[in-house]
Amino acid sequence: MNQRWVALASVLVAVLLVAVAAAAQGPILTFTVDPTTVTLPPGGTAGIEIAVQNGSVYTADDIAISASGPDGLSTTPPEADLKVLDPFQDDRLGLTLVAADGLAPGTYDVDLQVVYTYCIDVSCFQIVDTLPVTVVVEAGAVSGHAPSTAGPSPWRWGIPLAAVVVLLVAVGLWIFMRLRVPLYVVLGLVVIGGLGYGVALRQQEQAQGIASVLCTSCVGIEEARHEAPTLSTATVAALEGLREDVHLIVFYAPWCHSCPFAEEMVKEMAAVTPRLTFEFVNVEDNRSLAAANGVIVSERTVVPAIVRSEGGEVVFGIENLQARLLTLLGVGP
Amino acid sequence: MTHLIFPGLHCYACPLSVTICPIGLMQNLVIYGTVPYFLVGTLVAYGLFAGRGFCGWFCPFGFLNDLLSFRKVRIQRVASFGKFVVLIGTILAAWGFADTIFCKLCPAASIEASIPYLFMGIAQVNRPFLIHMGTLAGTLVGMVLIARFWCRYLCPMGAILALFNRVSFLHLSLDRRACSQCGVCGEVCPMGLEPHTEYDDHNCIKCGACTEACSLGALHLRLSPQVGGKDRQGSRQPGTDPGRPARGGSA
Repeated sequence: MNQRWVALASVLVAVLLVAVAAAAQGPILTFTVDPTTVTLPPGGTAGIEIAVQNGSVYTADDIAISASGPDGLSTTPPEADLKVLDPFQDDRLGLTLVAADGLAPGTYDVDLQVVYTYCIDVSCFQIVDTLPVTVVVEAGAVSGHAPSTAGPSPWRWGIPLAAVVVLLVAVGLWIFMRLRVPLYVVLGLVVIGGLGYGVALRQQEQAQGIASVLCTSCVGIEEARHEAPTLSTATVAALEGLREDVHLIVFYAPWCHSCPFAEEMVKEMAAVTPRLTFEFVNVEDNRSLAAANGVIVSERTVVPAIVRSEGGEVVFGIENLQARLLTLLGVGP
Repeated sequence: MTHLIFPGLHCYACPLSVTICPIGLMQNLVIYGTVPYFLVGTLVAYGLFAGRGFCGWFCPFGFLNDLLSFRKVRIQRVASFGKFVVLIGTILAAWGFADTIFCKLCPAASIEASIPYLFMGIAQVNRPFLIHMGTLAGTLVGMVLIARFWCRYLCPMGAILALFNRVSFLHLSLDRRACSQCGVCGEVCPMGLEPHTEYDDHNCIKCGACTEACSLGALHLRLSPQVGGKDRQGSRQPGTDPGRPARGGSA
């Protein structure tokens, strides 16, 4: 009987792990342009790759990138697009810059305009962003290659899979032929190869980065909210009574599950009164600003965190956020 | 914070933690789709060195289990594979939901993150907090009723290290000529094993309680490769001892 109960408890825990779902979140796509400075001759071409990373659990739709710049510089195709980018997925888009024959040598600024949409429940948002590219037109420059738009290679799993096969062979030798030495050799190689290659890829820094940012909903300090925030009538009235200019800094991490709600809440509030302005700061990019504003607790950067630009109390998390923000703004009940 | 991965169940969100929890990191890497070279290399190194010896000697949550180890009942063999179910479930949940689901249930996080952050004013008494307290309470009750309950049946970190128990350098060895099969070692084993027959079991946490209890000196903790299946004291692999009692039986 006792064995059955323990077995049942094990199964229930496993079912719970799978059953507790975390729904959508995260409005931010990250774009990385490579290269950011392009050199090409008049009449020449050069490829640009734009890596797109969806660090959220929302699905981004209708991602389109087009270039706007001086006459004589165009792209082919005119627009690179991606219909859907699923949560936590990467992809790449490519554009080829084309310089007209008669374009005078010089340095030109080209803006890559990014447009995409995402939805939180029934509320959908369109994001417009700009990625700057510097184009240097030189008479003697050589045309570049066409951009590669291949996604992450599935072959990146080739080495681990090969290691697993070799490991299974070694385990087989151990089980069926009582030979342990091959297993030790393979495991030793896994240690050396894994640590060596992992460090070369700077995965230890990735690990440190993950552990040094505390997302309040990620370890169950609070619950991530995925609905679009709505302001109460009392909140709107209180915001309209704001008598001083206030600038809020919203600290977030791209993968933080609570952050989009905090960001949207601040946006909604700022839409009510022009006295309230805001900025979003990615703590992974600007840890020093987070430290200066008291967002780092016990050497961990806690997100989401909202603070007035002149300092003072920090509002962590999204629990009862509307009321706490009003208090932060000095118009609370 | 350091880059160091510590092979014990602990919450990297803990205000006092300076190392990274392998299970938390593993979930994040699954979510990111990262090929986990650094994590795998580190865990295999730890596993090769001591296997589940980390559970017996270093794990902070194992220490709590030890404090509440009042009833050293016999391990339930089938249920002990529950920890592998939890490990696989943790990976699948991270992949399927793109979220650190295990962390939201982890009793170590309950103690090391939820409660401290409540007193620091960052956490509040809300549903996630109560879920944490629920899993903690259930685990504590389990620990009181069954010694090392979490380590035996549910710990995903223990599941990973258990894979290396039969090849780890730190291992329990049996001098069969000295063993009288008295069963004293089984009475003190916090994991509910019979060390004189299950000395290389995947559940052994190599705590050394049995080596201290054995007045005949038949059991030893050794730090050497387990090559050849027979050490200098003449220990033998399970299943080759003609006098060995059947699994689940008493000595």
